[in-house]
Amino acid sequence: MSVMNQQEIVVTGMNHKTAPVEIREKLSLSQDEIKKALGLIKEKKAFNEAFLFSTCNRVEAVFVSDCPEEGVKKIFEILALVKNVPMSDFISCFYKLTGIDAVKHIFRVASSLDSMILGEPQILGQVKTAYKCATSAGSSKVILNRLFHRAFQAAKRVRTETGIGGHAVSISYAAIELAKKIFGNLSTKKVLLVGAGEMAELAVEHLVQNNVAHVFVANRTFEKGLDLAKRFSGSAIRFEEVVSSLEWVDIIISSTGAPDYIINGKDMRQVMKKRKNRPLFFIDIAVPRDIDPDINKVDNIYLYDVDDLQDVVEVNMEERKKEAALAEEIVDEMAVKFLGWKKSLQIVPTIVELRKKVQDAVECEIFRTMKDNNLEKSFQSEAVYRMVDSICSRLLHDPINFLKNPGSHRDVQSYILLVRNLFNLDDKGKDECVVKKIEN
Amino acid sequence: MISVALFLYILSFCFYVISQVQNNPFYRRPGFFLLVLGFMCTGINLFLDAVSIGHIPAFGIRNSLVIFAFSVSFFFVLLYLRFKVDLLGGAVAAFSGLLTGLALFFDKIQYIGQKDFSIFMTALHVFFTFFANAAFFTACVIGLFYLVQEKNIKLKKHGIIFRRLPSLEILESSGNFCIAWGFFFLTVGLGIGVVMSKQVFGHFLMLDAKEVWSFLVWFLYAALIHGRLSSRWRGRKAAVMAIIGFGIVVFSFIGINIFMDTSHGEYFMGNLIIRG
Repeated sequence: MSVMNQQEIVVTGMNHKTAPVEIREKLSLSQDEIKKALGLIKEKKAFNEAFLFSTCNRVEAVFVSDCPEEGVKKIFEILALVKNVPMSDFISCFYKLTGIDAVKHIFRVASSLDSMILGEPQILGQVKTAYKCATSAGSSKVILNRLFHRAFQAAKRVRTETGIGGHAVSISYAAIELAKKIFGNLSTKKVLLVGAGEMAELAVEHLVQNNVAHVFVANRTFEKGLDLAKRFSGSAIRFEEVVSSLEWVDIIISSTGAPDYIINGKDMRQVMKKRKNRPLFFIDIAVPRDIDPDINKVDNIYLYDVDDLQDVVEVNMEERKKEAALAEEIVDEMAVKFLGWKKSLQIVPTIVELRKKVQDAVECEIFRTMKDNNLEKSFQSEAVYRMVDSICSRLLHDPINFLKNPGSHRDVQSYILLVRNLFNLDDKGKDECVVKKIEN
Repeated sequence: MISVALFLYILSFCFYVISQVQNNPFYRRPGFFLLVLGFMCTGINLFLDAVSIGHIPAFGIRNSLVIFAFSVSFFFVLLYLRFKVDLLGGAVAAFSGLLTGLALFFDKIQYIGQKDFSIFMTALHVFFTFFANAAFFTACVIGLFYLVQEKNIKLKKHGIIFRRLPSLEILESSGNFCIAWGFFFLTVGLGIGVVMSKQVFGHFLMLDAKEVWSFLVWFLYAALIHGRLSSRWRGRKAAVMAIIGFGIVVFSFIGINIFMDTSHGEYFMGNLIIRG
């Protein structure tokens, strides 16, 4: 009996939930190392199809095999070889998923439901790059091609049908979102960075990506300010000029180590008069705070400190979690559909063999009849071949439909077996007539 | 045609409500298109009325309501074209639907008895003042939205309303836009009214309550525009002024007719027109 063996989709890997950063950094694969590993997989003919994926938070292998346990071992060997790390160091951090769990996992990873920051958009691009690598290495074929295309579709649906990516979940992004709610278009707005600091600089970077008009930097050490301004293609101003500059800047990001407020509420009424009441947005990331909280009471001035931004992030994270529940439904629905397609693959060899058997039988009988009537030359004509095809199609239409649509409650395997026995598809002996036809 | 417009406004409102309830912006698009179609149907209805009576259809309660619905939708479309923001869609659909629905309860004017220059001027006067009122109504609603959004940002409340409302700058610019157009229409409408008054009554100003309050509204919006241009009234103050301004518009438009003696109502409803 040669019913196609059950090809299982297997995922094995580790991520930020299962492995500490020391292990993750040891096993993190560069693009070249992924290519090398895929080359080894192909060389060793370990699997029909394989895919490798590595980011700072995860290393995963997806493969198609009829023996998942063996496959996982081979993946461990290849990883140990490529990264030159003993297998015993990382085996305990790896998980293994098969069947619908594996499919759901891939869909969840691509849709950023399994990411450290839920809904972050970079992961889809990383999966796409890894898939490109697998296709160019020739290790992704029918099943994985379909699987990843469906994963990309799932990710797209999750992004468009849920609000998972809609709320900022980092302090710097939350600040940009707020700036957009105040100013709408940031392209005419000027930004002033007071002091320096990782978070503040990141916020300025995001603002620059949003095409703000100009960035000014004020630092107690003017030279340091100049360096920073150069990084953002902006200009440096002296620290003493900060209050007077409020007349013409629109967004102020402050992150100094000053023990007292550097901008006081009492200065602001005068400043607002000079700037004709145009809105001002202060982002105070410093601890202790740089900006007097009372200025938030002045009309057209908006002040957010680091705690306020953190609150925004937490609320947004909760929102994303709510949206994630909707996203899981999309993933479940698409995983079930994909497995339905994969199941249908099992009948393909049987359909091919069935069609071949019937075609041979029809051709054989036509050949015999024509030979008896000295019409052998006509056998080669197009019309006869078309007739053979039509007879086969009409004859097999119902049996093939029967195989393709067994219904959700019936077992495809037993129907395949039934059809193979009914048509004796596993008998290797060839019909005498067919042999003769081939010889001629 | 007015029933079709009413149906489209109701349908549009339903789509906007579904979009809000299901938190799905997909339904805003059909809501927007249905609202634009409703606006077009209201316009066609006014055109057909004009053809049937052979004059600008600006007389009687039915036509007044239809013109108001048309002008409110007109400002919605204008704001969309100018700012590319589907602002107030649900509110405009509901309000225009309410106005067209009310219009169905009143008789249609079949014939205008007198067709001289003063009647033509009266019709233009009505048209322009209705457009001004629609602009002030839109500015008032935008002002309310501004106050809500400003409070959300100041008090750091980032709930669903914060997310749905556009930025303060868009709200302020669109409010300014409506007030500027409203002021223009009001100025032209009042100018025509003054000229017509001279034609009909022999005086430029009758100084009846309606006229006095109308000029008060004009001065108030002139002050508001000046305040905005000189940058004294920006943001919250300007939004509050837009709301107060519309309150006075409502009083001068409806309240005056109820509480005070005025020649306006009689003139429009008098023997110049014949109802069907």
